Amino acid sequence: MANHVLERLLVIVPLIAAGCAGDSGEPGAPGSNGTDGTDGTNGTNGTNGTNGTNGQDALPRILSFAPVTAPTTDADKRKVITSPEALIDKAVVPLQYRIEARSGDAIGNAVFGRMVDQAGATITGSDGSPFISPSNDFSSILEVNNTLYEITQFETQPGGMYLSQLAQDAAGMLTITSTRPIDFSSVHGLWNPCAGSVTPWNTHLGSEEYPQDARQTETGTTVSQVMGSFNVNMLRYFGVDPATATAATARAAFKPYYYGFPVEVTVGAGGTTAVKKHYAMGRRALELAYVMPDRKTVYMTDDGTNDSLQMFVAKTAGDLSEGRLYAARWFQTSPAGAHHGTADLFWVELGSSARSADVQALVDGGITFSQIFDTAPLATDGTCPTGFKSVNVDAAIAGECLALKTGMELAASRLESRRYAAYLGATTEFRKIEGLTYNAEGHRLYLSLSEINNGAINNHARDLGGPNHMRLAENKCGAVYELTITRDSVIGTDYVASNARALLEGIWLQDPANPNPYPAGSPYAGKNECAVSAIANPDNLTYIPKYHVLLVGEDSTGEHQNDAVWAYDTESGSLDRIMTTPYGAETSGVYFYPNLRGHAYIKTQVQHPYGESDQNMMMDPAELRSYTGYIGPLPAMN
Amino acid sequence: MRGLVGAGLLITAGAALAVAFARGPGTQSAAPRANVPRVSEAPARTGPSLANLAAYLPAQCYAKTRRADGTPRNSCATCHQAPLEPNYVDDSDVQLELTIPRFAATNRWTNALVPPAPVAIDDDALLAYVRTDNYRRGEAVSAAVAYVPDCMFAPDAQGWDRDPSGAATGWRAYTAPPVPGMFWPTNGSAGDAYIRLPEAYRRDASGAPSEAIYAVNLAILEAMIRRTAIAITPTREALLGVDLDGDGRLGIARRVAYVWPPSPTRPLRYVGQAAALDRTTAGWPAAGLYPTGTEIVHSVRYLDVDGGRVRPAARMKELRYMKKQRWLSYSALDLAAKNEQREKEQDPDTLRRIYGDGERGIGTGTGWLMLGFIEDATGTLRAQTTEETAACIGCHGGVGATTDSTFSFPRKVSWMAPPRFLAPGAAARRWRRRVPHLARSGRRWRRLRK
Repeated sequence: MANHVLERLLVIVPLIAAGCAGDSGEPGAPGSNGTDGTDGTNGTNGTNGTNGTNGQDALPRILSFAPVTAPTTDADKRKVITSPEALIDKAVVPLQYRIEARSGDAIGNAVFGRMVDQAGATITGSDGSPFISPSNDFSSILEVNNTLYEITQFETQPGGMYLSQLAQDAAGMLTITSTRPIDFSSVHGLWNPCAGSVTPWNTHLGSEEYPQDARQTETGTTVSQVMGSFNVNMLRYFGVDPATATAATARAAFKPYYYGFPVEVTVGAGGTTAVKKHYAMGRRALELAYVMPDRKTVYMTDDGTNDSLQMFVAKTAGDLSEGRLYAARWFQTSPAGAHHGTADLFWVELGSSARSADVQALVDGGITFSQIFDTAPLATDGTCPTGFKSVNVDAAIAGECLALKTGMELAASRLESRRYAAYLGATTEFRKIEGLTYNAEGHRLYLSLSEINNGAINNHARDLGGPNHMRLAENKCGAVYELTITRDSVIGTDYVASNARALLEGIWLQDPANPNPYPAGSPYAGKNECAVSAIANPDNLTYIPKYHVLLVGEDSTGEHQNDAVWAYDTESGSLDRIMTTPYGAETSGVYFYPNLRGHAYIKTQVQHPYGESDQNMMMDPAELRSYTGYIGPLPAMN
Repeated sequence: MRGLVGAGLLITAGAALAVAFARGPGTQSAAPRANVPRVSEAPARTGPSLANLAAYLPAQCYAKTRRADGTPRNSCATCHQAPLEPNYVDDSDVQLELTIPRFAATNRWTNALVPPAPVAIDDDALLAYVRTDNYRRGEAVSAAVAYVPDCMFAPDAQGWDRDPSGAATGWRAYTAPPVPGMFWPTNGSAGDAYIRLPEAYRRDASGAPSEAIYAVNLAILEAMIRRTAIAITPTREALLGVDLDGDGRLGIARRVAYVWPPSPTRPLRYVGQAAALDRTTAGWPAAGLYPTGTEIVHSVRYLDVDGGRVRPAARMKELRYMKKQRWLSYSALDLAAKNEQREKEQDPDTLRRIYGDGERGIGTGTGWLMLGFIEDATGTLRAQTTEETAACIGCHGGVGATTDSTFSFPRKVSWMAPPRFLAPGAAARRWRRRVPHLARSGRRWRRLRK
């Protein structure tokens, strides 16, 4: 056993003695009394009964990773590095990151990550090169009829998912034996899928991030304005060449209200797939939809600037096609402009209970933004003319004056969920809310704010026209917040987040208010805006039940040069880096599987290595391709 | 600004080369060698990498867009244009509205705002200074530097750069009307440019060096970058196995045709040893793309006066170098550009990250590595700092005007013929006087056409 693990054991053992020993045994049953003596003399006392045996110690649940350092050498900065080993209960388990596939890998007749159009044909550039997404994101593993399948999302435009069949050997190693793109033509294609989750009923729940502003689509005079400049390749999905398209042809092919929803994929026997978009759950820059154990309450995070945290409560457990939608109102209880914020949360209902079919009928009917809202110019002081409400959502939209048209509550709540949340007074000042996961033992929800700036800080320019609910201190390194989950008898679920407090915050060394950069001579100087001893830009979160460990994946640019995955022990408070990624990469889809046929896995992808930064460090062009893989296999941990 | 440059603005590589060649290599060792900065002395190695975190936005981005009387001036159009595929950065809207991160709203190029005071110097001393060569070939400016200058700046009549023994260095000079900017003699400097393809492009199929093969490969590249047919010396296509002129048969080609999209039956490919390279990594003749390993070097020089005429001086202000590190397909470039656009729109105040350093070079994000050398206060060329090279990246990796991140080669004047807009007439005669080797090849080109 390596020394550091021994050292950790030495620390951990007293903890077991103090806190985790089993209950002592019950006292033994008393012995029977002696028989009475004859009259006149007292009889002798009966003998005491023997003590009962001690109770057995409860099995200690221990998970401790040997931490890894932030890489300092060029060679280490090119690699995926994981903790060499972890102590899991009483066993030391060697750890390794295992690649299942990289984007561009040929697997049978398929190329992993090659994007297809609505007819199933490969999308190509005019030089004939295929669109191979370098951005593997969330990748679920589902066991269906004793077969393991993996669904991998590719976060590009047009987006895509690949269904792979997995072989698992006796040691738990996973190998992709075949793969194919999933057909999304029945739901008008897939838009920029990002994070995801596995539902309690064993389906893949994906997302659609950064839908195009429908107001701009309606008035745009160029293809870039109609689609959004970085979305123009979505036209290729419909067989339209963006280079020759006009604003009119783009508008004819593309309806913005078809995108921005949770996307559920059900794998059937034999690897068939059925896809659904849940229009009833509302539309936003959906990063992640996460179903709570009641199979009804779903939290949805919204990536970008001036975002909304939303909650869907399904009418029927296990069926997301009908239900009520709510947006969070943040009431800050910590001082304005201070780090480590706290807030009470309450929930504003958007419209009333809705069915996906009814919402889809509106979109099929060609509904436009101007049929839902009237608009007026926003004054420079953020005020609006009488009859209009001032809202501030999204980086691209910023301040607006809106008036809801009569009878448009359903359309506004499900197709303009973020605007409508602001319109009704909910908070649209969250910044880059991304990962979210639930700790059932502690009744805590964890939420990452990848950065704290823009509307999330006190009186920022992006608060213009909005109410300035969030008044946190700026922190480019972001934070993980902890939300308390309670029963709410009005909303009618046991899973309502009622308050929030900062759990982990990055340390911003280049905070202009208090600059403290790494000094010359430090291996981290000039490359890391945030302290390497703490998190930066938390993105995906996953919780390891029974071991009280929260895993935090980073998506950082210059805040940390090499993005990491961290393990945070929610009981002891220890924070250890357990994985680092190559230059320019982000970790994505960090997700824990406690038991897949006798083995546990920490799934994580490594997205666009060399893509975001340090392109000059690239040596082999093949390194550009993303990895889909996992840390493990580990012994089953349920 | 494409096509706006007239004859009067033409600066020729040939003229610059003539100066260097006339002096001969022997004069180069005369310059002092003592003041070459070493790695440890370069500020980028010891201090913060970037004093100006927005250094990728060069001083030109802060140009005034109105005259004193309010008349608009659109110098922005020089770089910010609707691009040609596979440049997917359409930044033509910058001509009307400049959107930059808040930090960059302050112009931190203080030297441009308040230039250093002029220094009094007499004409003889000034001429002596600019005529002293400060370029030292083969000498690593520092241990870490990724490029050891190896161009002789001594081209023959065909532009082939040759060392004193007459051996080719692989570099070939070309002439291009300079993009509006600091290389215009009216703005105080002159520039030249050289290109080099990797060894395999300079060898025949058997591996023997071949200038003829290299010339054909450069012509193929030129056709794909300039998107036009390029004249070549008559070449027997059957020997190369490629239909260069696109006439559908293997005959004698007098030009490399520009065919795009490529012919499905007879696609163009590079010839000689390069024909055997893996096209997925080394690249292939795709419109608007250079193959992996392409290098471009150019000097920025003082002006000299010779017989009342201005010409490039021997002394360099800067030496700039770029090398293509990796082949990116149209689709890969498209996806990368969209990704960057998305980041920019989602986080408009986030500054672009510049990694690497002045000596090892900085990546453009489009497959190229860039680095440069600049004259220090003692007159010696030193490796640029990270911040100085970051200013190169702003234009070479992310504006609509470039072709595969380059400006000059797409504007190249033919090696074989005078530029069309100069011939015939008085302007062409002036041009021939100034560029004798090109005029000679022009005559041969006319002969070939007959």
